[in-house]
Amino acid sequence: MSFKVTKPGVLSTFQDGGRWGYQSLGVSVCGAMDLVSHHLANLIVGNSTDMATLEITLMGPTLVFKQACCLCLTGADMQAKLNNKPVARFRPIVIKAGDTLIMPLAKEGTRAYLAVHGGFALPLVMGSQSTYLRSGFGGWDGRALQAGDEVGFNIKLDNAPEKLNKLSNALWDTRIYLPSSLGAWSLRKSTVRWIKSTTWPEFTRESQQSVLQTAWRVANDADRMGFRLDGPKLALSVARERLSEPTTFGTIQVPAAGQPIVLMADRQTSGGYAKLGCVASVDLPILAQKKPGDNIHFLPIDVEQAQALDAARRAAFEELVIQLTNMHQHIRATVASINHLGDIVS
Amino acid sequence: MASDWIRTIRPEGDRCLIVELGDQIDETIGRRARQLAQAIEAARWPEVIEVIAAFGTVAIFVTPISNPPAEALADRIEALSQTLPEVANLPGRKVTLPVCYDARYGLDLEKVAANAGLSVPALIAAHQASICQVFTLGFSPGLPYLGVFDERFDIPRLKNPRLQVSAGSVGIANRQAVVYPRMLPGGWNLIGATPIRLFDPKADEPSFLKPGDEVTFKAISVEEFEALQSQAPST
Repeated sequence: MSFKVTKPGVLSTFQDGGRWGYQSLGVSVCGAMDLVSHHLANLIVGNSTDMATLEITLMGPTLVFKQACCLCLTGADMQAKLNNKPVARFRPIVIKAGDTLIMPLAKEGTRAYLAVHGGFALPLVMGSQSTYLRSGFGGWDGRALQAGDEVGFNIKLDNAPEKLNKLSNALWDTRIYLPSSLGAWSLRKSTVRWIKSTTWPEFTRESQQSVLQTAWRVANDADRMGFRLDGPKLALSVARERLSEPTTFGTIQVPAAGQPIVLMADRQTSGGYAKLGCVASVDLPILAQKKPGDNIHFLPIDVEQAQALDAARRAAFEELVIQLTNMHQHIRATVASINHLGDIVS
Repeated sequence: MASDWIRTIRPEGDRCLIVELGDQIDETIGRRARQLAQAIEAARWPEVIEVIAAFGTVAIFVTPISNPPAEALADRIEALSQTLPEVANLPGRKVTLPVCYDARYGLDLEKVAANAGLSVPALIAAHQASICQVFTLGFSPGLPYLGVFDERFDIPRLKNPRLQVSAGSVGIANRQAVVYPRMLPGGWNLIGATPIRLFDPKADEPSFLKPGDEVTFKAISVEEFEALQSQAPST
């Protein structure tokens, strides 16, 4: 056991890059809502990007550590405090046995991500550690964390105080240059770039204009499955029967009632509603960091542009891995034992 | 030519392509979609992370690693489709699903029979005489969409869906059937239930049914249902 949950928070679930390969069996992909913050937390503590992080929504849990570790918080600013002192985000933090971490309330953004060096000791279910809330499997017993849960780490750091102090100092001396396209960039943006679907011309001219000009309000009904958006009702010029077809992360569908829904991490694998288009992968974190009542604007781009932005984001991550290599050596030098070897970036 | 199968290839966002083969529920189109999906999987293109077939479409999910322009992948799919045999030859597994048609499970049996102009026993016989195909699984893990039944099974969904449908329930609507793998909300007309556990995430083969399976139904008694259910406890 490595940390104990003493207060659960609103919704804290373990998520990785998603449970890919089973959509043909009707299994939702799941995974982190804000994949950029999730990847970043893992990279900063020296993990592969596929390891599960703890996705913390709006109000975070209180965690009491029984074991030293190196962790990183990214994404929303939860006003985290370690033993009552503010904790820097986007930095590796050394935790000692007995430390208490609180994450009271999101001041900016909605979802924070917590990674520990070596990852959490969670079983792989169908190849993934992601929690699938709706079907009750994966992650921590298929559910959000509750008070009393005790979660283990794959890798234990040496608990000796002098070693941890040395690591702390070495990490403190390390500068991390975060590219502008990573970091906290998504928290302050509200313009979401998207790609029009081939059924876009089937919407009325008025509806098309509404999509482009409206400040869409994230509805109360906005969770890991999808975000409903409040605004003008959208309509098709000609209604027609549609066969259910696959969907993806960011698909914007419009049910008959005319209220758009952006499909998110826990989306169903297929849907039969008319599609406006799809949010560009690079801007999905902007949406993932919104909460009910926040406004967004849609800005159309073409698919080639979206793919180029996506590739550039990927390249920024690759550069970051190189930049952080030396820092990760310090963390590895403090490892005491490895329970089962996770997939660590070397 | 097999390449005539493809109507359009369109991007679904920047990490997915959708190949459209048809816009109706049709067994030939369903088979073609699965054949194309299998061929794309077998090609093992490095950027492809998942391929799924659903009714008349195939979706190809890709990583942003190599990020080729959408056209390049579309061209490869087009070329691949031309190498496929004209008549999709994909013998599905033959699966028999035991169903108890007792009124305690078949809550809408009388309504479905009346809609078909049949007695309840005749409807049950007609359901067992049908061979259907798993077009896709969705809505919930392991939930099959089965079709196509003849016009006697053409009945709309319930106007007011039930908030809870028991695990194993077999529902009919619009010449299709579904089987609920777990307790779920649902608007299909219930004609019976199977004791088979359709989905177990911890099993090597998590789903009892797979796309393309040829499914027939076989009537069992309440006693048989309960005996089978105790062997395979469902969640």
